[in-house]
Amino acid sequence: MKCTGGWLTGKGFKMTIRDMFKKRTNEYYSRLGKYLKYVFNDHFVIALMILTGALGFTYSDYVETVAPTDFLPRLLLVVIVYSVLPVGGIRTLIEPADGIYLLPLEKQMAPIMRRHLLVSGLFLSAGMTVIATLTMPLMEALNITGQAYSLSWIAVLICLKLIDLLVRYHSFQSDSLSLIRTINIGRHILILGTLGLSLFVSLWAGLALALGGLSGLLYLVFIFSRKKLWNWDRMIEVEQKRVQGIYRLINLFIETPYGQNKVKRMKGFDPLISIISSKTDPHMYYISRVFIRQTAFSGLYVRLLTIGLIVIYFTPVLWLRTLVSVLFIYLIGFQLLPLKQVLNESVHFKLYPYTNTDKIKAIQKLLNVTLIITSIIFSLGSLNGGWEATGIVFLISTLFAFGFNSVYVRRRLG
Amino acid sequence: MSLKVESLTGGYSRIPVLKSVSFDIADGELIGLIGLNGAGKSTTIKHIIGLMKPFEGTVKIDGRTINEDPETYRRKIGFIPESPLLYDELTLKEHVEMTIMAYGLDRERAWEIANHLLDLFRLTERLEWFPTDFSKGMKQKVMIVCAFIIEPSLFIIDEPFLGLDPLAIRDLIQLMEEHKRNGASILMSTHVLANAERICDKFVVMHDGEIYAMGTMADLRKHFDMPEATLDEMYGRLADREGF
Repeated sequence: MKCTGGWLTGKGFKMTIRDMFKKRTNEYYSRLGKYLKYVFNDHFVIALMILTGALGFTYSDYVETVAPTDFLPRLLLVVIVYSVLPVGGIRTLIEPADGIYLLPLEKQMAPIMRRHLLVSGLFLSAGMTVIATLTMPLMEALNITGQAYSLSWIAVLICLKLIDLLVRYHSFQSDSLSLIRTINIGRHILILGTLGLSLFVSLWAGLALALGGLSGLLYLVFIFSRKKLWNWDRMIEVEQKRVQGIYRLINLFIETPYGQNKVKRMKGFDPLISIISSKTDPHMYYISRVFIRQTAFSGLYVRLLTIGLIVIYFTPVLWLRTLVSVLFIYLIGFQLLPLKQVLNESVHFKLYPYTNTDKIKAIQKLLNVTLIITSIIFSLGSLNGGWEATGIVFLISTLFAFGFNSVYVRRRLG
Repeated sequence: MSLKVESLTGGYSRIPVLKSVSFDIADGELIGLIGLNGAGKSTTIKHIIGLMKPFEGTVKIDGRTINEDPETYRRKIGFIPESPLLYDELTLKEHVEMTIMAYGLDRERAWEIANHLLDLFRLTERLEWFPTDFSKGMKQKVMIVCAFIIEPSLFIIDEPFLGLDPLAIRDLIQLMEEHKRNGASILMSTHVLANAERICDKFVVMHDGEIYAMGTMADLRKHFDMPEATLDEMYGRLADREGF
């Protein structure tokens, strides 16, 4: 039977493997877009602007101290580029089930995979151009770049990223682990060699080496290994890792339903749990552990605490600092309210012969401890504004925390 | 202790799954709740433990419904569900602590029983483990430990043998028999008919939300007109009759 590479959908039209990946791509970007919109919320943008400003200022100060013959800044550039290069792989959107269901359509994967490589290559090349541009002032200070040299530096970084991607692409076609390892080692040598040549000898020599390496890899991938079968296990594993990496990053700022709500033992927090927990109130016993051990809550708390602390530290005006502290205490308190949902959804609490049904009381107790700790930390973040500023931030934040907890929380959860 | 289910009609979103189900369990009786998938066994259990409210009819333990005295009603039940219900955020030790706290048990006595059971089920070394580290069988064992430390007068056990290793099945059966001898009543839903036939005093055979047959093995043989039949063979007959 000849496999045509398509199948009938419920609506009766033929869906091809290409259509399927197109659909996956659209869904992937729309999901990513949705989360990025939440990540780059107003609070985060303000914090990011302050951070960018501070980093930019520090960088420009540093560049002014660099002399053309300095060794360390060149080494620093090697380290930066070498660390940034592995970030971002080939977006294949392969799913675990594909290893079974797409096997009969294996031959049709080649153009799809080439397209994935091309799209990822273009996207990540743009990223490397940004890196090249950001490092340009340092290159300038080291007398490495003129106008033509600037373009060469961009070209070097793009070539290196493409080499990185082609090595990954080759591993999708190879079933020899030793060959994959050998080529991988070769990639590291090639990258370090190119960077060394570019920054310590001649940018042209570095570019020539990068182009040579790129040509060799293009030959290896598209001519030498062309007819090889796909290593599905590897493709699935690599794509899973790539997607998890992205969501791990997004989960630093918001919670997504993509496996980041984990339970961690957090043994170091046991003393804290025993302080805030209770030996007589099962609600309190449970939610104190949920709060500490469920990353959806503790992770969110740590993120908001960190962002709040950074913003407070860099905010020069006292009233604004106090306002930010109050705002973040509100955000933290608000984000912890779903703890009631956790209690409501627990089947155990519906079965226990437990008459004290005041779940709200337990949540309020937990919030009191959490928000006061937060207000202490925020006030410590104001120490650079003097003791008076620290005292004012602490006083107003603590008062707000009490008010929020006794009025808003009770009304909201009641 | 007596459990009395009377004309129980109930289900989900006003769609009756159970149609006028009635049976009772006396002190020290072990009743097997038998039926094909979708017969209504788990729904019956949910009504008894108070997770679902009947549309009609009543469920009484010692003559009182859950609404009359929820705390006393619940205190009398030890429930082992089909799928282990554990807190992801609590260690095994904390599950025991939580049960002690929620049921207001004497800590020393409860830990004495718990330690014995943990030892029996080879869980003693895993007190600091989280449910995510456990296999399905281990989770089931944790549920068993938590249900038995309550020392309830009524055990409601839904598919207890799923995922358990043969040693654990043997130990669980021994535990059930021991508690039965001490006067506890047990309602056990199971598809492992050989075990059920061996340990149950009576059976409630459910089909399509109704009681199809009820009684001892002798009663069932009479009902199915299969004088020498095993429970398994009668179950097969039920399936054949219903066209499964």
